[in-house]
Amino acid sequence: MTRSLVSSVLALVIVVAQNVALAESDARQWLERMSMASQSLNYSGTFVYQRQGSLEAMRIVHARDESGERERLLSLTGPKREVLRDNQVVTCILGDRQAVVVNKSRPRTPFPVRFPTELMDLEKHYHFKVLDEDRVAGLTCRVVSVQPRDEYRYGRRLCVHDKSHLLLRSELTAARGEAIEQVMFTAVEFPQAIAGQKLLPDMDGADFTWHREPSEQPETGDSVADSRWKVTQVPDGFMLTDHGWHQLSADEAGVEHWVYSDGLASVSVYIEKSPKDSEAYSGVSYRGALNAYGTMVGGYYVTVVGEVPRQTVELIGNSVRVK
Amino acid sequence: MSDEIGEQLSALVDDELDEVERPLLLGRLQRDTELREILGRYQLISEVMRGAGQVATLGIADRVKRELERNTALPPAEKPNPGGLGWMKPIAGLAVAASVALVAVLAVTSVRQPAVETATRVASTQDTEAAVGGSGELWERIEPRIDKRMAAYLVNHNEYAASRGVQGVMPYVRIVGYENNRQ
Repeated sequence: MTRSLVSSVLALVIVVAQNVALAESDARQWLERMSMASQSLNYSGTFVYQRQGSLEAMRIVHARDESGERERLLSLTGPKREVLRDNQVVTCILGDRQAVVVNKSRPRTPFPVRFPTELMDLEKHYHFKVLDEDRVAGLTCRVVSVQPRDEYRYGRRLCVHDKSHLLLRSELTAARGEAIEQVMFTAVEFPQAIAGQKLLPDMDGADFTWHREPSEQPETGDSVADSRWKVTQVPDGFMLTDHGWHQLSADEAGVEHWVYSDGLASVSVYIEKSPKDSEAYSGVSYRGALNAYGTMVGGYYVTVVGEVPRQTVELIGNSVRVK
Repeated sequence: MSDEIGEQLSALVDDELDEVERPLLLGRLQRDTELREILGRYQLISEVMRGAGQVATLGIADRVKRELERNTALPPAEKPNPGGLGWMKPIAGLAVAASVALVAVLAVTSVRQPAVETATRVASTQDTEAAVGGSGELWERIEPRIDKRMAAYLVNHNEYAASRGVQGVMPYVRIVGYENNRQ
């Protein structure tokens, strides 16, 4: 009798565990399709972006053809700002600041990123769930919940279009589920082709100050071993995915760059020499869910930036040491 | 347009417009671009107010579209507006209503304090308030010299973050988004 009861309980536990695994696998399939759709579809639409104390309307046009991806994002409220991106460069035209920032673009890798290590054990750090259907911009979408298991990362509540798999609504949440910022389409369409004119900026920025990332980058070595710095602490699950040196602007000195990722969220660490007359500073700043922590170590600026909670950027920033 | 039209728009948004008034208003919406734009803005706010995670009801745009499709026979044209002034009051009224709606949305969903405080050294990593960024410097309010560097970092980080993982929001939304609390 006892043996029978144990067997039944064991069977029940196995069934529950299998269902949880299936649910998480299903959620990750939605995320994979969503990630692919955002890069492979032609789409254009208007959406709202809400963060602390503000609500902005924007328009996005995304084209994908044999030449690759092209994207244009522009503000519909507030000062005129546009970002244009193609396979070569990202151009940010900031009308209110009379400035244009041009950087090289990087190839996008659809989720899940194929890291060679245990980084793919995302379930160790997030709960994945597929929830009910909802409607956004008149389209039916499926709600996918990704909740963190600790306070070093944010959660996501996503609504993914059931047909195209485009992300129609996205909400970033803190550990207790509080919304930090959200993006939601109010109208979206999927044209067969997008005319090149729709991807051109309204502003040419000819009279603005231009900040270009130089095509020639400093030759200071490329491996972590060449660095005189080390990052000694990151939250569990984060791993170094990129490291290198950049010169982000022709009139600026080079900056050393470390990128850590847990498979969903990424954190950048920038280290650059400070000017002699600069004052020491330390603190956190934020823009929506993006937190930045800055401090000075041995006459160098150390700045940590990421779509992660404040304590994550602080933890990493305070762990930077000279070798 | 009159105050009555403004009230009818509100009733349409709430799906409470009666059968007599509805075809008249829909006919007017079909002819009047500015009125449609006002309705569009009102819908956008209404959609946001409904918020994420709730079961969405049929959007106002869908209702208008549905009604326009259903009402093949439009009502006779109304008299033209006597002058610009007639537009002002209802638009202002709607704008006030929209502002109130926005304040309500932000009061409910905002989890950060917009108040500026001097950037200080690290809080405890276990500080749950910090988990949602309860303090710190709003990006736009930091020194211009630091801000310039931050802008370059932000663009660069976006490229790396977008090339890996799942972004919570579309890349570059935070750059294009304008900070209303700028001082």
